[in-house]
Amino acid sequence: MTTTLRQVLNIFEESAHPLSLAEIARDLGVEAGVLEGMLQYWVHRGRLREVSGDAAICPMCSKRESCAIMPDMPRRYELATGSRNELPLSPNCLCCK
Amino acid sequence: MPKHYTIALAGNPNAGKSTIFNALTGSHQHVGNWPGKTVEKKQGLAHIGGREVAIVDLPGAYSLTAYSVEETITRDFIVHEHPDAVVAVVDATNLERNLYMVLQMIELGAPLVLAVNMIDVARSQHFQIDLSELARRLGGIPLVATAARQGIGLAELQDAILHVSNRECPAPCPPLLTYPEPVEAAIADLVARIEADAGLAGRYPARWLAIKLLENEADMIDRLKATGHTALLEAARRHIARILAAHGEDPETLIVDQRYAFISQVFRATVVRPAEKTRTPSDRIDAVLTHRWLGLPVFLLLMWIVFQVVANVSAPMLNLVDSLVAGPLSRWVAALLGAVGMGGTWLESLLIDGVLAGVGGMLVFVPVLFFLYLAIALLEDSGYMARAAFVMDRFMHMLGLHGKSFLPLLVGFGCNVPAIYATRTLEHQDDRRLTAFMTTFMSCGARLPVYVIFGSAFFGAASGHLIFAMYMLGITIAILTGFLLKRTLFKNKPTPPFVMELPPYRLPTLQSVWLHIWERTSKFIRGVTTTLAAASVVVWLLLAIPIGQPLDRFNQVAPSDSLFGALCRGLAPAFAPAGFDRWEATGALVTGLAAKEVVVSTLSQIYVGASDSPVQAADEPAPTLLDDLGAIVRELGHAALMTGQELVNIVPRTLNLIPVLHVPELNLLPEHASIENDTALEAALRGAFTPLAAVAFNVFVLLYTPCMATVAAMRQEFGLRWTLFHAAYTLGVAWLAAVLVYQGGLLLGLG
Repeated sequence: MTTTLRQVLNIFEESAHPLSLAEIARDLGVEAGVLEGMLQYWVHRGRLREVSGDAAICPMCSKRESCAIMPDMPRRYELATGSRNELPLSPNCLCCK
Repeated sequence: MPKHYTIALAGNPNAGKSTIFNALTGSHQHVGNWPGKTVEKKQGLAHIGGREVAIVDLPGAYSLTAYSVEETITRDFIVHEHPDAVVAVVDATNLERNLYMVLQMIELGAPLVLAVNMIDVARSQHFQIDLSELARRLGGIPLVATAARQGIGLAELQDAILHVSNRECPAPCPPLLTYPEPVEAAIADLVARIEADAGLAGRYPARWLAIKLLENEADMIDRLKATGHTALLEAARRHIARILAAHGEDPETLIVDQRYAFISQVFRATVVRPAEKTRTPSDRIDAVLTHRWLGLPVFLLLMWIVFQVVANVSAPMLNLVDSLVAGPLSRWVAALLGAVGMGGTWLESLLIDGVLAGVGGMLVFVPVLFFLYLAIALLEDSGYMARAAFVMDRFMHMLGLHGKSFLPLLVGFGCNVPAIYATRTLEHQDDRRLTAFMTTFMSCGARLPVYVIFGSAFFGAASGHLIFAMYMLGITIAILTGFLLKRTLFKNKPTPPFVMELPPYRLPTLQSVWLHIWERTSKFIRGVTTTLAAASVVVWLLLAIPIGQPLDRFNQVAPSDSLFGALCRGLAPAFAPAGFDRWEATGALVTGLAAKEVVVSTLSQIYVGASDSPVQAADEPAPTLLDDLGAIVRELGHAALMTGQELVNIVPRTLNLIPVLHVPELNLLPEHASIENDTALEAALRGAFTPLAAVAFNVFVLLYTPCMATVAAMRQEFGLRWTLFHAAYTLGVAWLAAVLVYQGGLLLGLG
């Protein structure tokens, strides 16, 4: 029997297009709060990655908390495949000079 | 003397724990840190039922699984400090999320009181929570509904705390939650081993520890390793391997899944949400705005409206600032220099024809950017921008491109430099390169003034169409480039999609919108002032140096006979097929390589700076300061009126997109009143370009090699070879597209 948790992961692996949390919650028949907890479980297990809004958009920027250019974007989850580009932060991001 | 009780408050962040803590302890609080941690520890004293009770506010946590330091602190406090009661504070509007930690606390055997907080908010949202059924399904734990901010339910909570502390309410037995058979068998074996070890059984609840070991919890394993319980750990490891082999799933996943299944059952049995709550207004709006087929047209329509606002609503203010810079401001600078004996010198020329024409020529576009940022702030704060990213992601995925590429592309509308860095959110270098390649075709804010000035000069009220077309062309070329490269240079497997949280729609607040506008506009002003001042001085110098004439003609030479004119004339024939082979246009494009803002400022320096427009004609009396101030106030009033009119006219213009409709537009000016809303640069451009050549020039500006800062970012991220390839590619695409537009237009008889 496939667990609901596994189904959540399968959706990430099998879907052909981006999805919203509400869509997945509807498809699986779970409450949004329960789905959020399930996603966090896979994040902790290292299978999913949470990309939180603007902080992830400009990793170089030392002023990213107050960057005038970055749009405020909501959280996203993605499969944690490959290695993340953990490049060093720069205090002199060209866009914020 | 009655026993001194210790009570812990535990729960998810934002469940209202601190509000309850403050309500119970009043001013008797002490704030410090947990030993060895940087997490804040709040303790306080309360008097409950004549007893002095110590209350500890545990850090907010989502579980007791020790994923974070907050969770470890909370768990250790409950396990090792043995509080007399633990108040589990849950948010009544988000019960299903909060119950996970409650369930774990029940498994831990904590003496629990459940405070269902924010009950007033839940009721106002028409949630019906069957509290007695909830308590029953959670093993009969004491449950109190509270609205801590209003002080509701606090007396009952205190009673329940005393009740539990006095041990009048035993923990549920047998276990509330049972797991699938193989997990339960493993738990039974491990429990027997734990209970056989008196030291261990005295420190941890046996069933809870067995579950922790099957969950393979690193923190607990480390502790048991340190105390030499290797046999127990080895038994747990064997159980985990056996369950995984037999069921294809590790025990941790089975355990967590079972907890969520239990929570879903409890939630459905105890909470009734009204029909409108199961399908919120946001859901209903999203059914249209993120619809698979409607989403994209809606996005395009909204973008069209945005550019109508940017082009037409900002026009009156643009004209006002332009007339200020070209008129009173230039006159005041000239008068000031005349007063100190510098009138008619090269310094006057440098300041008025160089700096004011260059920097001022660009600053007139501040109203344009103000309205652009206003529109973006409204889209962001309302929650639509997330939907736009979602819709475009889906669209790009359909084309075989990486859905995540859209976020860097979206950033590129503001500035290409951070967009290049934003590609770091992609894992694979090929995806990053591809996205960076596409990003520079996104029309950044610095290119907008070029479309505005040309659109206004050649297309008047329809200039919004040109701007919209430029932005759409940028997106199209970016997508085509991605499509092409994905099938040639960057052939790799399709990437899996992502899941996005779409926040509820909300009404933007004035404060937040203003903050966005102010931060972005002031950043633009700071940026252009320094960059353009330097570029303007260089261009002024090149325009002042005579070629083929004696050097004593410095600053007294026609622009076409200057060093700048000579240099640009050499390059100009390359643009003949695109219809703009004038040296002035070439000069603007060359200086635009430094920064796209410089394109307009250079055109302004060449066409306006060289004219005598700011200086009063000899036969007219010079206006006094009072004349100027009076004129400014009149023009400001007029501009405000016209801005309002243009804002209202967005509605009929949008409705008139439907072919059968013809909604009349508002016209506040009397028929006979004519207004001068043409800037000097617009008039000069009309004499220098044909409309078709103007469009081709705009296409070139949109697509050609990005500014120096973007090229530097590209080099930093992807190396020199890739950067040179990108520069050559964008230059080639821009030239080809401009030629296609011009020659195609001629063939269609549009020349």
